[in-house]
Amino acid sequence: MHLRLSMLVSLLLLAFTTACTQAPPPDTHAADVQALKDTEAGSAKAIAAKDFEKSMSYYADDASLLVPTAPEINGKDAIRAAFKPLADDPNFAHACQTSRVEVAKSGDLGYTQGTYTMTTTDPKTKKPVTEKGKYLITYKKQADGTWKVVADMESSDMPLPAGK
Amino acid sequence: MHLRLSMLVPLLLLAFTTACTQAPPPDTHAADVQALKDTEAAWSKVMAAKDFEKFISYYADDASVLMPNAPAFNGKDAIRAAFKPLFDDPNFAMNFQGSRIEVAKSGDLGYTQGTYTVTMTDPKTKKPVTDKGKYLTAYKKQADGTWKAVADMSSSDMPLPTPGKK
Repeated sequence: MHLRLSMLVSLLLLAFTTACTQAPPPDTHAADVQALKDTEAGSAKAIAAKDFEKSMSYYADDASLLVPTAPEINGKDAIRAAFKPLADDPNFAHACQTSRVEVAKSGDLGYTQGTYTMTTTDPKTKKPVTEKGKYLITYKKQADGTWKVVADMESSDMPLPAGK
Repeated sequence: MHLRLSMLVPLLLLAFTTACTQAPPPDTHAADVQALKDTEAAWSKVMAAKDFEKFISYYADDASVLMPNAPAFNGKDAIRAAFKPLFDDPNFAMNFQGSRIEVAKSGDLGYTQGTYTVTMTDPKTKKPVTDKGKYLTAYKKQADGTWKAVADMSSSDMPLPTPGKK
């Protein structure tokens, strides 16, 4: 009987230890960071390829776009309307470079920071002009596991034209 | 012996259940969100009071400030230099209002979005002008439990002055 008791205790202790060490969720941080990097690379590729619908698909439905000289642009429809003229510009070209990516330990929230180069047609001269700028984007992981942009803020680095 | 064994099993099961249900960390989400709200409210107050050093203390050492018409200001020293002229302006007044705040479940990362109003001296007319704008700020919880801004971006809502016109 003593043997059976000590076996039972050992088994229960083993079960106890195993169950409790398995309790904390697995650390997915490195995978979360990589997934966010991949998402941003995918978005940059879609923009560079001028695939308007695909580039829009990276925004959450309730996302905000924050650009200079305009109030907050809230919601995917408003963002679509704001970007459409750019997408229609034959000179449009865009490239971005991520400099910082941070993701919460829980893997549900993250942000990226970086710089961009964008070419558009100057409305006055009708010639292509290139500007450099920077961005800050916050992302939320969706129920399906994909990362979507919830706030996208950008601004040019170029000095204001001298008004004199 | 049968009695002792049958007593031991429920006791071990009780210990097992108690230990395992206590395993997940407590949910501090509501407290984390409130702490970030309080941080931003206090920061706005410090700005309104033009307390420059206290204002700067809300940035992490490796923070970036992103403003239009200039590249990123990286690091606290660059941020200090960028904001100093504003705080030295006798007409300077600023307040901001958060409209959206989100904090990760793990409570280590968050962001706020909102609008601001700033008054400063127009370099040309020397008269005070008021600007409205918006901001997006990413925060990280520090080792001491405080929230610090790691990336802070803002821009004016106002249309560009059209040079040549008038």
